[in-house]
Amino acid sequence: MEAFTVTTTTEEETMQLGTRLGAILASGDVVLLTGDLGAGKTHFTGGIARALEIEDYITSPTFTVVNEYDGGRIPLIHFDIYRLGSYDELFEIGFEDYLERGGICVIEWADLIPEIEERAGRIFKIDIRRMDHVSPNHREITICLPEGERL
Amino acid sequence: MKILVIDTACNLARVALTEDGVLRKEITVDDKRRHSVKLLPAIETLLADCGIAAKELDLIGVTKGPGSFTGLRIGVVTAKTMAYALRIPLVGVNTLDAIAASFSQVDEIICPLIDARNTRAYGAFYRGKERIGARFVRPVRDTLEAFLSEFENETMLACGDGTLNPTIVEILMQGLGARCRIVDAADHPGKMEDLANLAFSIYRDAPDKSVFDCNAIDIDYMKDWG
Ligand SMILES: Nc1ncnc2c1ncn2[C@@H]1O[C@H](COP(=O)(O)OP(=O)(O)OP(=O)(O)O)[C@@H](O)[C@H]1O
Ligand SMILES: [Mg+2]
Repeated sequence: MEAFTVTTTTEEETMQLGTRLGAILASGDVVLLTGDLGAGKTHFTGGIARALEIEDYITSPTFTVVNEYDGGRIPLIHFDIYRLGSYDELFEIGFEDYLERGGICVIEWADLIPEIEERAGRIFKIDIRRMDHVSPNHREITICLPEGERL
Repeated sequence: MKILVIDTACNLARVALTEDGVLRKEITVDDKRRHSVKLLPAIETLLADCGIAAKELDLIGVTKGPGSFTGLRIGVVTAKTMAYALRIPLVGVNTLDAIAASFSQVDEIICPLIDARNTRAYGAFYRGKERIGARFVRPVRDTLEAFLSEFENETMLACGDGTLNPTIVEILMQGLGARCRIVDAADHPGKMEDLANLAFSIYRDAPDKSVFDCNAIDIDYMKDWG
């Protein structure tokens, strides 16, 4: 896996990075998003949605756990697993069926349930860190791509 | 003895009716996303075509996993609801056992495989009607290694929907070559009358029939990966 870090200073820049990633995603891919509270995971996902030509405004599925967007070139399945306690709970909402649906699964807080990684297909890892000591809008985004992919 | 069997564990939804061990009719729905809409009408058609009223049924058999999450829920809930309404026994059959039962006449070691993504598969080994060792879910490469170390000089008959995955087939063929026979699940997904007969023998052989109460059966997703 190739990893590199990008710095952004506005939410729009973070979204644009998401759009660049979205452009190389294919159906069945899984994006694991990690980072601090309010880091920009949902905005990054909004950027991915643009690349998939989804017109809806992406909001955090914090309470519903999963939102599906079917209006674009490839379905986007957006998870926020912050409130889930275990892989079993994720399984019970049909996670493994979502993996097979031929869409792109984006999972916020993916590191909270380690089992996700071994069960998902081709994985892209995005870690977004706040740099509050630099400025409130500063973010360090580390991107880890599967073998053979480049942004 | 009239038995209704339901199998929605893999990519097809199938229902069948057997009478005294003989298949009367079978209906297949090949539309994975619409099992929930099509299953009950298929059962209605099945019964009507056989000229049998639901209340004449003696037993229901259903594959209870492993398999597709949504498929299993639809199949098991439908089976439970019918068994409850008709007050008849419900027998949950492990999907791997059901597939293997269709091949119990062969000389090879039977290895049903159900795709679990990322070249993993649910599986087990059988000789005739006997399962050898535990059921498992693991990378197909590990299954291949296990086969090579447990069964010297024997041939594997691989079946089940795992055979529809080209990577799985390639791993088996590379490792076993002529020692592997692949039965494509598209041609032979396992016979429904074998599922019905297996459900019946499980029922007949059980000393305690209360385990066949519709509330007693649970889906066995085999989701805990070894
Ligand atoms: N460089 C930046 N990139 C992304 N968001 C930024 C940036 N600078 C400031 N922000 C602000 O940070 C917030 C990020 O919110 P967002 O919901 O995307 O984060 P999140 O990581 O999904 O949060 P949560 O942990 O609640 O899921 C927004 O209010 C956004 O305006
Ligand atoms: Mg969020």
